Amino acid sequence: MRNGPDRLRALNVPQRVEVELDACGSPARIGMVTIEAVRETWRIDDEWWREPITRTYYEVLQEGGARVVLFLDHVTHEWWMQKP
Amino acid sequence: MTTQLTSTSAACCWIPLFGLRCEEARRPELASRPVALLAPDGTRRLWQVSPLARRAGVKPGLTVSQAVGLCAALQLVDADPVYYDEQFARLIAALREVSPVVEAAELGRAYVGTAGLEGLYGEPEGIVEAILVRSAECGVRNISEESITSRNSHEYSALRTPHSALRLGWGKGKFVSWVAATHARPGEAVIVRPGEEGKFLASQSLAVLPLDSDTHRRLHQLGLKTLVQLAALPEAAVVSQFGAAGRRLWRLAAGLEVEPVVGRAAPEPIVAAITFFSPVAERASLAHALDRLLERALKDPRRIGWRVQVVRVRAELEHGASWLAAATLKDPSADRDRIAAPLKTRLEQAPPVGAVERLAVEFTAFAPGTTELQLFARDANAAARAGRRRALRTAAQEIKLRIKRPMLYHVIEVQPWSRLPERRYALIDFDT
Repeated sequence: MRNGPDRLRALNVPQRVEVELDACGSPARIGMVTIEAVRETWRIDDEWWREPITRTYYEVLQEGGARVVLFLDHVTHEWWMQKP
Repeated sequence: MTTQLTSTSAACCWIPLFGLRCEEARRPELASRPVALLAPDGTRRLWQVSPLARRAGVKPGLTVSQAVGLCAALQLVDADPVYYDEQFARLIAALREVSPVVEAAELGRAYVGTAGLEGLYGEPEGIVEAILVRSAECGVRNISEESITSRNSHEYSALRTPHSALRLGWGKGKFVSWVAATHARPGEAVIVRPGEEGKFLASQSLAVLPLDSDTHRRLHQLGLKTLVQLAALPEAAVVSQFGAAGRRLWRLAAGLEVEPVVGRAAPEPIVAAITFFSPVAERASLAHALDRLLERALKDPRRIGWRVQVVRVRAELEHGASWLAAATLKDPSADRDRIAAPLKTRLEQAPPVGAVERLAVEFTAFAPGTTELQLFARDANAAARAGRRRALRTAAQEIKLRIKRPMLYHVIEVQPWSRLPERRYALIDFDT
């Protein structure tokens, strides 16, 4: 999100990540980092009238205590990570 | 580069409601009235409220109309953050006479590193007494020698000095000294002796921890009320609930986190000079050269974080004569024009008697930087208290000068209602 020369910068832009799933289909690892717990899950279906956004979000607790949000983009089947 | 100094033994000097106390010091009639300071950000909400006003139900954050509705006699005072900051800078300078290790935490709160001062002042009682005396000399509080008494208990001891807003806490690390200061009455010092930290902290309420309201609420919901209850939990359990911040809280509660006071040595004199190709006699040219030299001296990395208090201009004249102008700024500044003003006046009124071959500007004394105090304060409210807009503008200009590009941004709401987190907020350059 930019507007004019370097005027506006998006905050909390999702970062592409590789996620390993467990037997139940829940995220188990982000790259080399183990996920200790999935705290919350929700789904967003939006903007179907232009570029559909269909995502499943997971708020997870990583090994070491960090809290992050993951989402699976059901359109591209890619995993992304951002801050809660 | 500035030198960093650290000390694990710390004295916390705390003057709650610092802005209000400054106003009462310059307008003594306010001390007997219900008074509220208005927030310096122009929102017309209350920022600091005197105990008399608080008794009438007035609280910080209320609008003026709400406050006057609760207390018709309430006296409203516009905040003067620059004045408060100057007073705080005076306190910091006074504390630096006791110890070179002084860290400004927020407006009204500073830490003094006391390691190694035993040789000068003896026991901690002597050290805190020296701090009280110095703070009295800078006008922050009144003190008489007879007024200091001491008492001891199993856990800690206290020094008492009436008629003072300054509260002192002494202990190992900043946290213990801060908690001790919160227990001190005005004009008193609470000393937590080495080895007694655990016992002292055990009975303290969780409110002494640096908690945000959400964490405080969650801890409360878990039934935790005191530090000893938090410290009794397994560290891993606290970390899993609260992440890295939880680890720090747990270690603070257990008395395992000893954060040292970090001070900085004042910079050596800064000199910028120019030798003219041909001697210059025109005042306009000299004034222009003076501006350029001041700019150059202000850009010196050693000056960052400090305001100039004493400036001198030396001129070497033709035929071996010389000219000197010096100025002590009542309000130390990092602004070129404010520093140049008294020198230019001198240049107009008593110019050099001959053409100048070499001109030199010298900063010889400094005061802690306003922007430093404000920007590095522990919380955003403290920054607002000390004149946020003005401080940010100066800091942004300094950062631009130093690294050639803006590094300060506003966070603005774009679509705060959006269910997609990346669409809610954005950064926009902080314009100066």
